Amino acid sequence: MDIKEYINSGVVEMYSLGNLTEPERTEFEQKLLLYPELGKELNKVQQALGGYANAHEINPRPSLRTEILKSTLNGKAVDNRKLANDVSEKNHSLTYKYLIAASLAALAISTFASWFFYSRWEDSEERFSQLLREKNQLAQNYNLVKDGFDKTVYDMLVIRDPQAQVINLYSKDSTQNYIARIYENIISKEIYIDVISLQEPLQDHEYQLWAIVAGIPVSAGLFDAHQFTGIQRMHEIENANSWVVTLEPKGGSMTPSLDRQVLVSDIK
Amino acid sequence: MQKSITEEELVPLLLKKSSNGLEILYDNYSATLYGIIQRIVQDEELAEEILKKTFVKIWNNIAQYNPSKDRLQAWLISIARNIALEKLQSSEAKTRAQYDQVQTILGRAEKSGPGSFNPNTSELKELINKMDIEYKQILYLLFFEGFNQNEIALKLNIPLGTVKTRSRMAIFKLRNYFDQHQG
Repeated sequence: MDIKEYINSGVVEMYSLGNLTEPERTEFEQKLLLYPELGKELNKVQQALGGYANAHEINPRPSLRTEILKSTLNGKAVDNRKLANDVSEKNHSLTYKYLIAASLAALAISTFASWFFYSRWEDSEERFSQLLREKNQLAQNYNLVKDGFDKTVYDMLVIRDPQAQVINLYSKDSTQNYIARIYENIISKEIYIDVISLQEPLQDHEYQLWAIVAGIPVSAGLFDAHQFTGIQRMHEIENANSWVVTLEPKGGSMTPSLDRQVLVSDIK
Repeated sequence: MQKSITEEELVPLLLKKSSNGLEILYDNYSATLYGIIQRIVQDEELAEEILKKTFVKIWNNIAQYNPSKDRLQAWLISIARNIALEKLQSSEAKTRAQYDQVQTILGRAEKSGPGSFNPNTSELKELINKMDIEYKQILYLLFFEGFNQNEIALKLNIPLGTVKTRSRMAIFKLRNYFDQHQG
């Protein structure tokens, strides 16, 4: 299904309202990573529903503020009413009989039981916070992996864009085998550099990309030489006849050090 | 009220477990969340318990919030709605929504006008109040009663296609409002 058709099916609205089935939701979240326009649409719908919710706001009673801040910071919120209900439903008749036949033995047992369960509760509490910490760690790791994945998907969208024009850069020094590519989007004019093989720059130096426009070099910015960085966005420069990468002192230069050309492209 | 802080500034505070961040979160969002919960469960005491649980859950799960996917407010709303709707389906609140007569529910939808006074939302409230009742009803049933479109079609005895069109149109009207107010 084409993405516009997918959006027009009302799926974004139903996703936002939590009305999709599990497989539909998974499909939606996968598409979200691939189609930026779906993300924009989701943002708009969430904003609309957020506004709808705001318009229906009700101020809670003021004293609830302190109560909630306190219980939240303690990490606990006990549903008092539920507890009260549970206790009264389950133990009502039993408790009543015990009360009548209240004996020292029962008192001793209950004291022991309280102590026993209290220590068990403390143990579980500790294990629970341990698990919570581990879970947070996992969530953080997941976010890291996900960021990496998002970046890769984004890179792929740039590279696979039918409007992207590829310009190859070769070593100036023919004894080296350095390679990089420039992706120039002919519609959006965006420029990206993809480092495929390049040595780490000398200390206190950085690589700088230059576009040669009508014989004059124009800086397109500095970039990392690391081949695992993925593609890097550079300044937008139109009508370049050729491209050059030079090694410049850290922070870059106003004019290229032409004796330090590392990579060059063919001339258009 | 500390309204000036943005979502982007608030999230790092919450991740750092800053109590100041929690206060800002409460001041900025409690009325919206309480409005949702109260309308879902229709019981003040229960709504307060659920609001408490909602804040604890937000506080403990903030690391799972993904800003590249959701607006913060949408994420908070989904937590509050989920807890409240779950409660509604549990035994304690069985007397409510699922079992309420259609007319009772529609009565609530019709009266679903403004909550607390807030000049920031008064224009939007007016827009919602002036919406055709067909749109207003469906939005209310979807958002506050947690029905899906099939259930609404059955309850109101109208075709599913009509429910789908009306849902989209209703949300579209709200979107239009924000498009116009952001230039």
